[in-house]
Amino acid sequence: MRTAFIVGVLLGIAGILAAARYVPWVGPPRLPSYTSVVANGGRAEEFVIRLPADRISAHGGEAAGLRGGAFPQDTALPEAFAAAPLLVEQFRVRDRDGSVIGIAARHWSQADGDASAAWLLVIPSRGALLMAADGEAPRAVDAAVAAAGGQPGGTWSGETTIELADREGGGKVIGGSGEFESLEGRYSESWIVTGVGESGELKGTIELRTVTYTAG
Amino acid sequence: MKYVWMTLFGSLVGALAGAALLFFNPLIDTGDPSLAGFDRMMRYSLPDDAIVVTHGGMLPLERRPFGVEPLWESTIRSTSLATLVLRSDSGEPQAVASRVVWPSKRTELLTAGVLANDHWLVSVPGEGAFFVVAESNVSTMAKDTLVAVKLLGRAWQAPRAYAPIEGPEIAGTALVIGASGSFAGRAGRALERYRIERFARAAGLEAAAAEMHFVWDAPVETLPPGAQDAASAERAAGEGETEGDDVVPDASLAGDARAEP
Repeated sequence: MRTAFIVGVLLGIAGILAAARYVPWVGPPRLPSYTSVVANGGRAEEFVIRLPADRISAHGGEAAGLRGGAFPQDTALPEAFAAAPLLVEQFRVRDRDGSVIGIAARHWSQADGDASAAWLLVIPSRGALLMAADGEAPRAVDAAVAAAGGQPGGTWSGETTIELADREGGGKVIGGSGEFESLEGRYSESWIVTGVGESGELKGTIELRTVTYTAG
Repeated sequence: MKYVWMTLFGSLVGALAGAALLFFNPLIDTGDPSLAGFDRMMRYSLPDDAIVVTHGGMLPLERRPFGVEPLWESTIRSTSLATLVLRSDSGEPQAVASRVVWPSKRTELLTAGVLANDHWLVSVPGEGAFFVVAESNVSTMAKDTLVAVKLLGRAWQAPRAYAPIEGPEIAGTALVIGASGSFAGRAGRALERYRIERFARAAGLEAAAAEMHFVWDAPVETLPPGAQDAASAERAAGEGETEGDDVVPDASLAGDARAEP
């Protein structure tokens, strides 16, 4: 009887330790990756953000224009940054089929007159892509909407496309983690704006197209 | 039959003993890394410096503001996202950061611990932006809060400090990658020191403070082929001289900083 108890105890300890060691405790659901091989090597993938549904938050200074309106309401950057050329946006990210697969943060800023933009794109089941590019001019989306007939402060519907990372062949993929570790490449960023709502929120789609290849 | 029941009872006792072993498992504890060599610090406190915090509902931390949409989709439910104000030592706002944390697939409870991928995009107005890529071990923090307070119902006794970052850079530091402005093309390392002031069973995390310490590696200058030859000749001519050597090896990079007192 005592032997059975001791065997049971040992089995119990071994079972728990084996489970701790070998059970895959973490595994975010993964949807199929729609990647394609490009002619000169590397793989291409497209990510989509639908506005305003996928906007999680946005905060910017005056230079950010329409996109800088605080969202969610009743939140704000510190007063010290109110006049700073800075825009912090966070979005859900979808694959080309429209399924939510990740989260992205986009920061735009100006230092010494040079604008820059950076994306942190996280797909929990795969890893993260770090991307950076020359930034657009302040109020670039406002200017495009105005050129398409939009009035400042008013609602608008139509369609205008703004390429935000189109200088020197696009932005750069400068790093990553997980599956994207040791990758480099380029990306392009298109904002297809189809409207401005009553509270100033943009309607439309952001398309991020990446071409990545193994570094070195 | 009684042998079977006794074996099952023994297994239950063994499982509880195994769980206790895991709870006190020293292999997954985080260390106390040295800050030697780090030359810049930014700090933040929770919840005051969090402009936005959202997650899928599994974290013991209130979403902020109340109206922010939770990350409810199955693919991002385990992820948390925050917009943080980072302050200087004197408390002045210095930067804004987007921080995304999600569980690491390398989590393994026996030897590695509960690991989380912890990525930051930090913008410093007037200077530029950079990324922080970290892997954090939150085992100790989870044991002190989720297990001890939430699960076992013990009261939070006193503030406790943690240094959760464990990689991916040398000596258990995070990788810093410059994105734009004065940080463009540069790399460095970072460490976070985190202090939980109050944690309650019902409300979860009530107050915490953290410091992010940074150090940037010296820029590596790449010379064109012709200039490289000239530089080699110049070095050969000046061989033996010690003056003018402007690249000093960083002693803090050698070995594991945690071993330092």
